[in-house]
Amino acid sequence: MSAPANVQCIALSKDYGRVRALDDLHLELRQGEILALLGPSGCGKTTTLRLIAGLERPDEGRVSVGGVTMADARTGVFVPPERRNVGMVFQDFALFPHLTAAQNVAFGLSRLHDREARTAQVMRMLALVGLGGLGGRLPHELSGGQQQRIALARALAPGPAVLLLDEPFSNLDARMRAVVREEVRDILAATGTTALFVTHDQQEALFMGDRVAVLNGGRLEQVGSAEEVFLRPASHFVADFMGHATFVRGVAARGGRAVDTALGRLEHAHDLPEGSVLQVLLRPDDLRLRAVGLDAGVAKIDPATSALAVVERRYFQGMSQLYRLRLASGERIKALGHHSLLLKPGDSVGVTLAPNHATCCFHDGRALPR
Amino acid sequence: MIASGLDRRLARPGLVDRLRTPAALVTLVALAVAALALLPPLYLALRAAEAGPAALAVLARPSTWAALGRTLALALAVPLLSITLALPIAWLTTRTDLPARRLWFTAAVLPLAWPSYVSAYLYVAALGPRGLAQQALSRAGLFSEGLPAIYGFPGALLAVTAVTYPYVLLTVRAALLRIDPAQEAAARSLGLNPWRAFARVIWPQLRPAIAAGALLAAVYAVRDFGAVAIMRYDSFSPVIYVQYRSAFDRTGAAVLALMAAALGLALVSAERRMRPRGARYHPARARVAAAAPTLELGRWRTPALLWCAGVVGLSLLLPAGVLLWWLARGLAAGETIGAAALLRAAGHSALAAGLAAGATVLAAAPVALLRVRRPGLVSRWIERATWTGFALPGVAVALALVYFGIRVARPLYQTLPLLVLAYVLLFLPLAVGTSQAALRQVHPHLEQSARSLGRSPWSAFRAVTLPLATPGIAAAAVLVFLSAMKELPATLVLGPTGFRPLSVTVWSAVGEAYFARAAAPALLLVLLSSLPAALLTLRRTV
Repeated sequence: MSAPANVQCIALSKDYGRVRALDDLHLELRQGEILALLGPSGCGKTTTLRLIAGLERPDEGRVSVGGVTMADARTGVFVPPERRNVGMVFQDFALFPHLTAAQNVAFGLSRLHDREARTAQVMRMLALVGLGGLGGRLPHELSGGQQQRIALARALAPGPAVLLLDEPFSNLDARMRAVVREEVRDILAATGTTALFVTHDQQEALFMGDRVAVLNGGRLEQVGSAEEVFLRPASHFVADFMGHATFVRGVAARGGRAVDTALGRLEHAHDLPEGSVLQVLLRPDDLRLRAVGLDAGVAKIDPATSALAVVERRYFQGMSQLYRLRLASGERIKALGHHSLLLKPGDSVGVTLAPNHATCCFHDGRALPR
Repeated sequence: MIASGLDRRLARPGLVDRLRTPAALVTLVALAVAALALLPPLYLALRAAEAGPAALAVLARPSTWAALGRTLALALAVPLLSITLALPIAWLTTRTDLPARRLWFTAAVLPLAWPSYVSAYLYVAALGPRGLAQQALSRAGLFSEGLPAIYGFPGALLAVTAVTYPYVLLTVRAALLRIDPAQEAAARSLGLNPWRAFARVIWPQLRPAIAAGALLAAVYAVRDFGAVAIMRYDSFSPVIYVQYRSAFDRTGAAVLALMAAALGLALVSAERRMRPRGARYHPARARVAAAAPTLELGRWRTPALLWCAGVVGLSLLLPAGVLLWWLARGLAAGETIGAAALLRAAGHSALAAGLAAGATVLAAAPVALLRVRRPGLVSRWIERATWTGFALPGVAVALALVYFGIRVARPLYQTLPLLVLAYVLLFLPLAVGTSQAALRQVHPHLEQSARSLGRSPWSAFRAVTLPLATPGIAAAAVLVFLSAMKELPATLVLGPTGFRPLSVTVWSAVGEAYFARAAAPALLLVLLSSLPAALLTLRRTV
């Protein structure tokens, strides 16, 4: 009888007029996990949220929460939002401006007829978000971060089966965002809440999500743990969207075991014909830099594992230097250097590929299997 | 099995469910309101069609085309003069160091509240034959053969423009305030002098606002009855009224009313197309006040002040002074309407206007709600249907309801409910617009939050949307109340026997040239109507 409190989206599609906002989405939320739904604007992530909340009807597919079908395009089943037990935190917080913080939190507790139980729950929620003393304030008397926490408390108060958060930090300034998202992460973990969290910021997705799902153009590109999605992107799009990515051209070598690049030969199994062109993902920390002095010659660079590059720009990042380099092939890459390594634009530098993990290669936009 | 059992309990699928939703109910009611709003033009068309050849004969009369010509002339001249008067004031009060800017602006907007027939009566009392000016001049031995006649086109132009130029002032000023002052600063930094900066940066952005305000003034000129009638200028409205009242030429009246309606509708739809299509939802948030670069007037200060003083003097101070003079003179001579009669007239006004306010807001609510929450083709056409009241002259709406009362709803003919219906139709656009603005302040996210917290659609509406929109809806009710108090032609045509509200009291006293007797009720009307205008300007300037 005890159905697992999770969310399932099965073959979900939604059109707005002639635009397909969501296309055949399969997504599952496990009990107690935080899933970050990541993608560029217009990729369908907010649509997904609204379909789960019951604010939109799917054109195709099925949504279930806790094992109960909430919407099914085929049978016409549609449970209205108020009977789904799905909490929602909006981007603009959507606090009721005419109600105090405590009244906002109590809003979803009308089914608790016992006034004392209701008050106790409101108090518990306010304490949970660390705003115990501010229940009497009106929303406009609260700071942005405080409003955010009241919105969270209000959504959590009725004990939803799942909490949906729609870009909840985008209305906060950068410093506040860092603080608040850590607090929210802790509160969700402390309450064991299952949450689906929408963002276009990959840093935020990696920070908040136990797992990350990447959407693009209404389709799911990849879903997996944060590390998985970052280190083993399933597609060129995911690799690019997760950030810090530069790509160099690779050519499939004979025998299906290696790929040749401007930085030498890479061990990578493939089943492509010799000469097929690939994209090889290089992140700045995959590369080692070595200064090439005037007295040192080109001879010191082993073309099988390294290449000579010219520094185009240096970006000081505090703990490290980020360099934009141009390879002899004309390709541009980015590489991290130790903060003591000071190179000027125009300097030559030796670049060695030294990944501490297997590199990713893409053919036709999809990652080669490993 | 368990899951499917739960499914059935939780979900109510199918068509029946959708019809039971509040959205469906609201749509049905809104459709009914739209149908009601279309009743007057349809009924006029029906009445004209019934007459057949007689209707065509009306079209062949030269007098018909003369009335059209006079209406068009006024509809062209009033906006032009309004722009001339308003544009400098709008610019001076937003962008320059004119002394007492807010005071000038408020004073210049106030005539908006004056019923046009009160303004017209006061201009006649001041500038007409045996008016105050004539008396003063004769005493000084000047113009003993009389001033140039005020009656006709000049008088109508003066009286109508005096109450319509504030529309241009309000729209242009709002547009000026919307333009980021940094644009002007940027133009100046790129080497343009203030005049060229205005011409190349501000003026292009102002044109739509000017056009919108001018069209509003034109609509007013086409619809106006009281001022043009007092000025004896035979545009559509007074001609229709006279044909209906004295000649009992029902066909002629219907055909003319239909022509006036078509003209009004064309102007109104042009005006609506001018409106900026901005963001759908404007959260009630304090505007980030960017300090506009104020232009120092320098030696232009005196001419600027003279211009403002001239406009305000002619449109506000002159009528107000004349009104007080006649009131004082009437009181001294014992000619004034008695306190008891004034109270009774005010009671009649308040009763009819109160009923109108309640009924109009109720009728407007579903239309506004649908337009805001379900934007689309259906809600757009429903809203457009309600514009009829704004486009049609009051005389035309009243006439249609007379026919309707005689033919269809005999028991309603010459009763208060039919008059209230006329008010509802006339002021529906006002209430729909104001309620829409109020509802747009409530972001749909708020209602959706309430839904996700377990509230049904109605409960979410009651607990969140309604309390937040109430001030705006109350404002709509007040606006309709005051507009209905001022309304003249429908009240004259449809008022029950013995029904003598303030507007009719002023009208009949002026008609018989008892200027002193008209003063007290006119003052009461002016004071009451000035309240929301004053509030409106204060809110807009903050």
